[in-house]
Amino acid sequence: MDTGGALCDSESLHAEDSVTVVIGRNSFFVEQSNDEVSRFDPILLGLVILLLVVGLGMLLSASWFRAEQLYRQPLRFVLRQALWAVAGCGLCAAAALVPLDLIRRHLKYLVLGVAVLMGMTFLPGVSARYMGASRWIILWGFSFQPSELVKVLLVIHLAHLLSKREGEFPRDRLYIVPPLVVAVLSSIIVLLQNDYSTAIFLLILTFLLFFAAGVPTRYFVRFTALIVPLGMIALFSREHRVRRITAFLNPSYDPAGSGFQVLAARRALAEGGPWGAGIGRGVRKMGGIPEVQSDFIFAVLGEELGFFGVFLVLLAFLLFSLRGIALARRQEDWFRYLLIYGLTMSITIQAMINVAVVAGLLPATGIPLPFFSSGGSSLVVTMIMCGLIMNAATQPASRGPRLWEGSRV
Amino acid sequence: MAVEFHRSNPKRARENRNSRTKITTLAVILIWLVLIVQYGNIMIPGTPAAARSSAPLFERGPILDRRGRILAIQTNLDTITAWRPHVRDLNETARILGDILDQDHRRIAERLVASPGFVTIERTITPSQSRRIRAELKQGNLRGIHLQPDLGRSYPEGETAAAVIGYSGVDNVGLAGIEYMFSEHLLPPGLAADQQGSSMGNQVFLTLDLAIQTAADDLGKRLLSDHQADAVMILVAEAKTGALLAMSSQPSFNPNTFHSYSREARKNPAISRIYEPGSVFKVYSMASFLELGGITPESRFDASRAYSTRDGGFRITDIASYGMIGPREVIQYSSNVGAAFASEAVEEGPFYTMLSAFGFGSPTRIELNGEERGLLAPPDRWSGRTKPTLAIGQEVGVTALQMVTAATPLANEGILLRPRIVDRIVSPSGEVIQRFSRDPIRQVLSPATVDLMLSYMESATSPGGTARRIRLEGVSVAAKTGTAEVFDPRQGGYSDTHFLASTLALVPARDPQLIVYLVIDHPRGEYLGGRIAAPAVGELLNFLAPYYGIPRENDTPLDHSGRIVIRPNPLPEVRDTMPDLSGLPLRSVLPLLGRDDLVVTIDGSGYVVGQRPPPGAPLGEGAEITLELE
Repeated sequence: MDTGGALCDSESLHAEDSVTVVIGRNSFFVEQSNDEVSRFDPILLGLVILLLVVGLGMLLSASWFRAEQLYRQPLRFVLRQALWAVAGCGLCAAAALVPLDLIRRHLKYLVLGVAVLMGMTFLPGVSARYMGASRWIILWGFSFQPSELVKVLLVIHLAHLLSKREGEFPRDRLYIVPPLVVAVLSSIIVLLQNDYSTAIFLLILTFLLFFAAGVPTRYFVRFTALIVPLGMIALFSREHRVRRITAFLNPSYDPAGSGFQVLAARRALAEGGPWGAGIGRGVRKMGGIPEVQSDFIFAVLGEELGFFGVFLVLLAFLLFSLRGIALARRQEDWFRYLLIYGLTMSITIQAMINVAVVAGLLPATGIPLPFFSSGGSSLVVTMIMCGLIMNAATQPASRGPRLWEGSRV
Repeated sequence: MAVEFHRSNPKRARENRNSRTKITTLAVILIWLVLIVQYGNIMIPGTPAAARSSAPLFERGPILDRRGRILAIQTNLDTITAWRPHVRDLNETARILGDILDQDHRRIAERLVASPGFVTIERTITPSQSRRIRAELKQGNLRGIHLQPDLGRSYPEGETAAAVIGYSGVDNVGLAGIEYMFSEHLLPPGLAADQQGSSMGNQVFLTLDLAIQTAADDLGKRLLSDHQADAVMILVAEAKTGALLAMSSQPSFNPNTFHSYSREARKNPAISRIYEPGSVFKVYSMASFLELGGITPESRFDASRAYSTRDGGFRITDIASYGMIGPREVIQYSSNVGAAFASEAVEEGPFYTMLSAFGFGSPTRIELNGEERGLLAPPDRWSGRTKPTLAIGQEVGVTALQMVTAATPLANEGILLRPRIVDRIVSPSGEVIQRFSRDPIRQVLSPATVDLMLSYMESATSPGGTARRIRLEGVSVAAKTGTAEVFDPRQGGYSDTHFLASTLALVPARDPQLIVYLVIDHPRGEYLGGRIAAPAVGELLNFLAPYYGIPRENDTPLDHSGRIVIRPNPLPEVRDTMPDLSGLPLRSVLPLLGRDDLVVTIDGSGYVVGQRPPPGAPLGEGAEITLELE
């Protein structure tokens, strides 16, 4: 390209416009983009920021009492969460800017890394046991749950494998096998951590990705026939799982035990009424609901903001889901399509499960509410997912004129 | 081999992809809408789900005795809670509450500072305390303090029948006894709230009779202190139905404050304490020997010397020499030697089968928790001395309830009954949901054996018998006393000081209506069953027989039909001497006021309880008579 010509266009550079410096192997150029930030879908970005802010606010209200009780520091959960949120925003930006090709090329290292982290949860010393499960590793005073990373990695991996077929799954080839092996292995590793609900969640996610990738219907029958009996065996192999199911089917059967959380959440919701008790004025979080700051935070939201607040938050989640799917449909590239679809559904399904549990429509699970539940790993991974969605949704085509070009030699 | 050709068709794949994302979109919208509707259903008042979740008060049904007297009832007391952010003056609040609750205000202040949010200060306070707190609240002195209704449980009879009734914890959960066993009836899990948002469980009527239970408890308490015993157990059962009228064990506990007793003290010893019954057991061993045909009423045993096993290593003796005696005298004098010789007439296997048939070694299946099965070793684990030892009631572990249950064949022509503690379950609206009736288990004895045993036991209460100290006017009593030795594990043998005195009685002897069994564990001083347990049983029977309506032999039975007019007691003639007027109703003594020759003063109303002058005093003209009535 002609070196001098681009400089002539410098008059067209306005103050509000931004420039990108693209550095190649032995040359670089400055490129004008109409608006670099607007390359990211503004609706999705707005929804993410909204949910993140409301989530942090709710956590402040829901957790100060318990934090005060446990640690004598009312802001402990929120400050930690805010720290994670900052880290999450950084990682979100990184995920939004990293070239997708880079991820696809180095996928095996990512898989290896997550596998090592998962393996560490079984090591004494770095692993932490909490309420009968060892899903956490503790590094530098922060606990992290690597199974959250599995959620995002599984989507990337499946999108990578499935996109190669571009919607074609001929009868005489076993193209379905590699992604299926990846999914089942991930579920089994998570199940080994005694995390049944996440394992089931991963299978649901797999199912949806297969569906979106155009896997023919005939496979789904076999898939279900294989997974359902295995799932049932795993379900009834642990007492607390059976108890949760019983508590779900009849919460008043054991109101002091397993049914307690469900009944308490329901009471909190009923107390919220249509308009809520007001932010920070709910009383059920004062020890009324066990583990209120994590899996049952939505009950606090219901009590304090009422049905009105619940409706708005659920609406935000609904719009998030719809926007995500719409962005996915728009993609020409199958990998980008599957990636956006899978990540959107990952956040959507988690939110649906969590909200349904609080409403008593599903048995109690360990699935957190994205953006809301206390827990750094969930928040960070959710933010990474959002970053990746926005990354994959950017249109690589809209290139502005080159402003300046130079050689690195 | 069929080869399928696959034509690559990106367009079709793209169409498929579009339709599948559309399906996903629809599903996602649908699920979010369902969730929103469900939340609206829960949170907006007036919808069915909101009504359900407004924490209805589930009231636990009451426990009553057979006549409907209340033994356990739900109370709706207040619990004081505090919401710390609203509490203004911590010390002042603590002082006011301390005054009302009669507690050290510093302790209340400590509780208040224990948490920055929601604090429970005191659970289930009394109604008068609630009233005073409400008054203070109205004046605005107790900001941040709240009274919340808290369902509690009250046992108005206190220690009476505590071991049977059991107790329930603060969260309305039955923890022991009937409260535990019948929890599902008292507070059915599927209980639905009615329109008022409250709902009540069923009423459980026990077979116990509060009057009899109280009499047994009082007697038990007195025996416990008189003999400085470790424990006293008294059981009274309806002989024909197996229903328990009293199940008393002392020392007892107060279920209203059950926390302050040890776990051990809250047990029901009548079903959980295993002991060797001693000579009372001869009723069952001798009945077994008779039933098995090993001995007959004509059999004779040489009770003039000690019994020893064939190898001579083990001796059983009596306190006196009774000479040649038959089975009647074995029971009457409680001859160990006679019973031991009688045991030689039967094989081990059939003897074991008979004792098992009486229910020894297996639970009676009464509807109470914590029942022990006792100890009755199978014959292959018997030693050479086991059979004669069993015949005198050692080497067998029983519960008091097993001893009473084993006596039911004697009143039911040989049929063993299952003991019952619950009579009926009645719904809150008064319909009988379940009635527990006589539950025959098996034929243990033939009627002939029953008649023989009852007549033997009756002779034990005749002069010369061991149970002669049971005195009951006009009613024949069949009884058997016992003084058991208690195994001392530290000594490795039977203790020299620890005995267990007991007596079993059936009244009337000819056709038993009641079974009474009394055990005094480890009496200090006098310890013979015939000397301390039998008179106590006699005392109880003197209350029971008229209360329960057991006819006395010299009573005139009213068996003709027609009207009976019961006239008021006539006033005896008051002439030269003062008659005994005590017990007469006011109505009967009123005519005295009309007499000119007497100055009569009547104090009070009701029945005459005191008189001046005393009966038999001479009365002159113008004598002054003062009558006190109550």
